[in-house]
Amino acid sequence: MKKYLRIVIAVTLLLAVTPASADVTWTGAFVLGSCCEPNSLDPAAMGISQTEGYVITAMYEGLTQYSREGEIAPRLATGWDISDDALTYTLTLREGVSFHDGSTLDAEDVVVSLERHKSLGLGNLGFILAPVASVSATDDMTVEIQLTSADFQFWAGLPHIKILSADAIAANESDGDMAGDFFRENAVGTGPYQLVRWDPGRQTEMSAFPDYWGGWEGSHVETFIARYGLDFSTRLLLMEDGELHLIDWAGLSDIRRAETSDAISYNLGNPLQGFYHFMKQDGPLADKKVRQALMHAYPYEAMIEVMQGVALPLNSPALSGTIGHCAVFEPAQDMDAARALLAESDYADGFSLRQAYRHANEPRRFAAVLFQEALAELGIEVVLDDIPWGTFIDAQRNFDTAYDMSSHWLNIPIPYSGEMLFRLNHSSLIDTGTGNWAWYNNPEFDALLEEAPTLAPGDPRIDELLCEAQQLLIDDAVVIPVMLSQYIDLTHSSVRGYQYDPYGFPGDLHVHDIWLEN
Amino acid sequence: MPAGAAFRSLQITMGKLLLERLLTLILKLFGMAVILFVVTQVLPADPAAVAAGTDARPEQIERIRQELGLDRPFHEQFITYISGLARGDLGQSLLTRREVSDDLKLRFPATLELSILSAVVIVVFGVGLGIIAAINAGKALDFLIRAFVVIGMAVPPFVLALFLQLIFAKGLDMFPLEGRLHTRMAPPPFVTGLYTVDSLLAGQWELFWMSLRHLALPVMALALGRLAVGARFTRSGMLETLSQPYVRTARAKGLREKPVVLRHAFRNALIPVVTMLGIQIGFLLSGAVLVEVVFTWPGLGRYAVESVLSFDFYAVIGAALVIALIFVVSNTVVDLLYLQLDPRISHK
Repeated sequence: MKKYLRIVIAVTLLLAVTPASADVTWTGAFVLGSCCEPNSLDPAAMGISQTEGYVITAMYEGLTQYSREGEIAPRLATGWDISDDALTYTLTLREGVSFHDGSTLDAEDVVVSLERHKSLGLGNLGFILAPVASVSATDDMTVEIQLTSADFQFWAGLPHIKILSADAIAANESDGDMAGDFFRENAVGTGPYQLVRWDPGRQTEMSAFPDYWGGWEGSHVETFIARYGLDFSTRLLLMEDGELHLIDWAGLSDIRRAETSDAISYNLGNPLQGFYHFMKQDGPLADKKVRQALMHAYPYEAMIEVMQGVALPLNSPALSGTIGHCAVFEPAQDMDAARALLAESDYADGFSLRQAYRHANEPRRFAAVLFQEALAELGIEVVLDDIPWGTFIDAQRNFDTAYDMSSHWLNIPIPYSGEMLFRLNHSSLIDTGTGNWAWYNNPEFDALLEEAPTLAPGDPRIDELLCEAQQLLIDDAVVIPVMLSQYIDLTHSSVRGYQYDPYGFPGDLHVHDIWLEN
Repeated sequence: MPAGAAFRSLQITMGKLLLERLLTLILKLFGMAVILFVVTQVLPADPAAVAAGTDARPEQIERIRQELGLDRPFHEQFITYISGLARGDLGQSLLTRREVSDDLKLRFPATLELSILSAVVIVVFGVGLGIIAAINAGKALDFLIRAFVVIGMAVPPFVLALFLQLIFAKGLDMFPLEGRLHTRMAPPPFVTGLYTVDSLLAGQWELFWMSLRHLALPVMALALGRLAVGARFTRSGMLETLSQPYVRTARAKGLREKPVVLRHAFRNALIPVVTMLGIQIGFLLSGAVLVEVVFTWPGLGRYAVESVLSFDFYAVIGAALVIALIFVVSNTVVDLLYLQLDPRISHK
């Protein structure tokens, strides 16, 4: 009898320490070899171009999420109602959701999290909550969000705003910091994985959260480890040995390696990221004909070829697949048209331009050199400067020190064309160094961008306004849409269930869907 | 001079030297901090923009600039930083927002552990090979050691690191490829930050063994080149002293070869060797950047490089001050060893 009792106790204890589900198959630890280490684990500090998203989205969830098709879908909120004037959003919360500290999700958690994110504004997702006037709990499981003015970007960006435990915020607050110090190195969310340990400079380890509301049926990984600081060649050696399962932000040369290895395969994704060439409206580039000539001279096809099949042409300054995108541009090099336009301008005898491109990036260098060669055929000399970001932005803040031309990747966190067009050429960015490196100042363009987000989600006028804005940029020839460079990552042959999610940017891995074979 | 008086004189000289070095150390570090602060401020770069990330909006950059005090006039920032430094406050990392001293506390022990073990290997094998080569001068063994020295000095540590990884980790599977510990192992409770020491203190034998195994390849990569330099200095120093009249006298008196070599020749050959070792160990401790990168070693060198690339000025200054401190301390230790090895220096 005692023997059976011991077995019963042992089984009970085993069940107690194992994430709950009768039908779960645990398949070990999923290890990500990440390019970059988070500076903070606080969702309020999350950026849109850094890999902290991979870790944060495993531990935290938003009220809504993007489906694989790019539609807004329920997450911690199960339903919502948007008022006709698009000023009031009422969300109903999911019942029975637990935080990693054992507390249960209710409206207070949402109110505190949103207010905290808005107040701290550490990361660069702050603009999403900028139009929020108030957040209030109408009952335990219902939240009402009031906007100062209708703003479509709020709704499009809400999936990126994560919900924290209000209890944990209150318990760890110090000197009114809204638990900023605590959440920098700790995590208390509702996500499928909970923080075990973050060893700065080494790795972040997370384990499956037993009480995750999504459940644990089927195959899953019980541990998720994000490793940092790995050298490129070391990452590949480790993956060949099965010690890494995913390598993010791989390079072009890694594709060749993957093609010759049975253990490694590569995946391509289309992120919300475009590569653009800016022309500052000064000197010869103040002449629209010159800018149009340069647009014709751009070696679009050669650039795609150099990218060895991991880039797609852009047919608009906006990215295809985003709300409001329309095709307004044919990316094809036409040197005869370029010569004809130059001949009509005051600069037919040639001139010299300075161009900056970001330090240590193959595609940027390829693009700069290819364009330099093409312009040399037209008698235009281009002096190239390879500089780091901090130096670039310092120079670009001032019209006099800014480069004549510059090339950039631009990311957007929401599948909304207006956000990309804003980053490209809105006049409010002039002299800030953070965008509009063409010094484009067109009130008509600005007005279109400002009106579109005030319309209710789904209003067809959003597409019309944004399409008009895209056409203006092409007609005025201030920015050259070069390509959509695809995101490359490498996976080990044992990985199952992984799919790159462009709408989960910045970096939602959906680790809950992943499992390892063997 | 009687032995007791000589010892006291040596102690006084050492004390004076230490005091002098301590005072100059403070001045040197202060001077360095001032120069570095000025240099980092006049660089054409915007650290607030870097801290905010490449896709930040202007209002976020301005907010960070204000939070970090980067919007204040240069003299205000300078006074705040220097007065903080006087209290031992190295400031806050612009990127991680942690105290720089906390970051250094995490990173420096990794480099220290790697360097200490490398130094032991350099001293034991470098000096040992140098002595063996000297007493076998002109023979096959000497030729072999000299060949090893030439190869060791010619191959850069990071190239050697890649070879070691391919041969001993990938090929023979004898040692781990990278890192301080296996991914699934948690570090020992923090006491010194040296995993070997902390795991011993915690009685975690498996962890101790694993951390030693992880040290093997980076130590080899780091030590081999410097070990070759050590062997070369020791060999030439030994050859010179072995040809001195007092060595011939010792041999003529019928002393066995071992005491002649070790007691008479080696001690006198040590001064240039100690000078060289002091410099080498200074370099080791200041962070073998590329070796740390190849082996994913989260040490001071890698931290310094990451900080420079991201314009994390306070982190750069903090790392540079620690490196300067290491050089001054290692040079002081060398000077003290001189006094110990050759008491005539104290009289001078």
